Amino acid sequence: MSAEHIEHLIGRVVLKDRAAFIELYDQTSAKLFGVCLRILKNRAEAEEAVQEVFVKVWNNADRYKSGGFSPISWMVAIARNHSIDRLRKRRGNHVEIDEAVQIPDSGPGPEEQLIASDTGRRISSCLQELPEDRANAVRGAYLEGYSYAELAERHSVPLNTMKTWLRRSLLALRDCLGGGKMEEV
Amino acid sequence: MSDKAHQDGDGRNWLSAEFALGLLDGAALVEAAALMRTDRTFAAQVTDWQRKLSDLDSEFEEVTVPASVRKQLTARLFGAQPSMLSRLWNSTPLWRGVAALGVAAAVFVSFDDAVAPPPPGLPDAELVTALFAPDSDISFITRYDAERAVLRVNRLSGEPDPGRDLELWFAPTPTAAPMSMGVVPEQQVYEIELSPEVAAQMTTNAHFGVSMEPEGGSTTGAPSGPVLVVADIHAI
Repeated sequence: MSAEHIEHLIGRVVLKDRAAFIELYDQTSAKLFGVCLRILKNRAEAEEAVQEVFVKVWNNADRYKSGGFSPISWMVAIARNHSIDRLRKRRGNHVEIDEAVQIPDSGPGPEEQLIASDTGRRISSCLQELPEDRANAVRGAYLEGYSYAELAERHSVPLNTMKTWLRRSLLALRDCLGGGKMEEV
Repeated sequence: MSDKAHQDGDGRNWLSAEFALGLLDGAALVEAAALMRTDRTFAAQVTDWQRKLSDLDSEFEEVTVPASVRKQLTARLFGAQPSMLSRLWNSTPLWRGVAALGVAAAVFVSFDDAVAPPPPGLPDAELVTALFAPDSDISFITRYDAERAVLRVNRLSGEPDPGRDLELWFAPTPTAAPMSMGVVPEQQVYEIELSPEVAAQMTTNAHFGVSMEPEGGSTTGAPSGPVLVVADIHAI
C-alpha cells in the first residue's frame, strides 16, 4: 500500500470510478476503522462512522491535493474529524461545522514547504522530551479525541491547568519540531 | 512561553493548534472554521499542525472492518450491484446500461438527496455539465439558463462518423429512461428551448449523454448507437 498507489486511487475516485473506490476501501478501511474505534470506543458506532467517512471520501476526493500531506493522513484526518464530531454530538454541545472545512484543501505553498522541510524532527521523538503526563495529554487529545474537560478529569487537574499544559506542550513541540531547543514546560 | 518574540502570533497559532487537535467547541470552533475559509495564514498554520500531528497516525492500529459494513457502504453509494456498475462505467454502451440498471442506480438518487444536496450557499447556482468522451475527442459543455428555460450546448470538439449523427440525451433521474434532446446540429453553439416539464427536471440528479446514431437520429426513442459519454449535472 504505497502512498503513490493510494494517491492514484483517490485520483480515480475523483472521476467516480467505483472499482477504484472499492480498492481504496479495501486498502484503507482497517486503518480508518481503527481511528473511529479508538475515538468512539463503541463498535457499532464506529462501524457506522467508518461508513460515513467513506461516503465523505467518495464525495470529497477532489479536495485531496498532494503536497506535504500524505493521502492516508488525509483520510485519517477525515475519520478523526468525523469521529470527534460524533463525540461532540453525543456530548450535546454540538456546533454544526462542515467537517470538510477542517481538511485543508490546498497543500502548502513553496514557502511553507521550505519551512516544513526544515523540520528535522518528528513529533513522536519530541513528545518523548515532554514530561510523561504532558505527552499523554497531547496523545489523548489527538488519538482519543478527548476534550479539555475529559483530559482534566483523567489527569485529575483543574480545567485551566489542563489548558495551560496543552498550550505549553504544543508550543514546546513547535519549537522542537522547528529544530529549536525544547523549553521548560 | 517567556519568549517575547513568540507573544504576537501565539493567540492565532494556539487557536490553529487547538483546531487541528479537535479541542475546540462552541464559539471558538465557529471562529476557527471561519478563519479557515478567510485567513490563508491561519489555514496554513492549521495545515502545518495537522501535518506535524499526523506523524502520530501510526499509533492508530488497524482493525478489520466486518464485511457487512462494506456491503452496506456499496449498497448505499452504488446500489446492489457495484461491480456491474463499475464495469459499465468503463464500457461504451453505458447509457443503455444506465437505463437498464434503473433499480440499482436508484440508490444514487437517495444518496444525492441525503448526502449531497445542492450547495446551500449558492442560491443562484447554475447547472452545467462537462461531457468528455473517454474514447474519442468528442466533448461538450452544457449550461442551463433557468431564467429563460433554455439549455445552451457548446460542442467543443469532435465530429460524428461519416453518414452518422450525434444525439444528445437527457435523463432526469438515474432511474428514468433517457429522452432525446435532439440531433446535434452542425453549429458549435446552439440552444434548446425546454418545455416546463423538462425544465423542472433540470437538477443535479439528472444526467446528459451523447450517442452516435444513424443519420437523423435514433428511430427507437432510445439511444440505439454507441453511447460515447454520460455525465452528471453539477451546480456551480
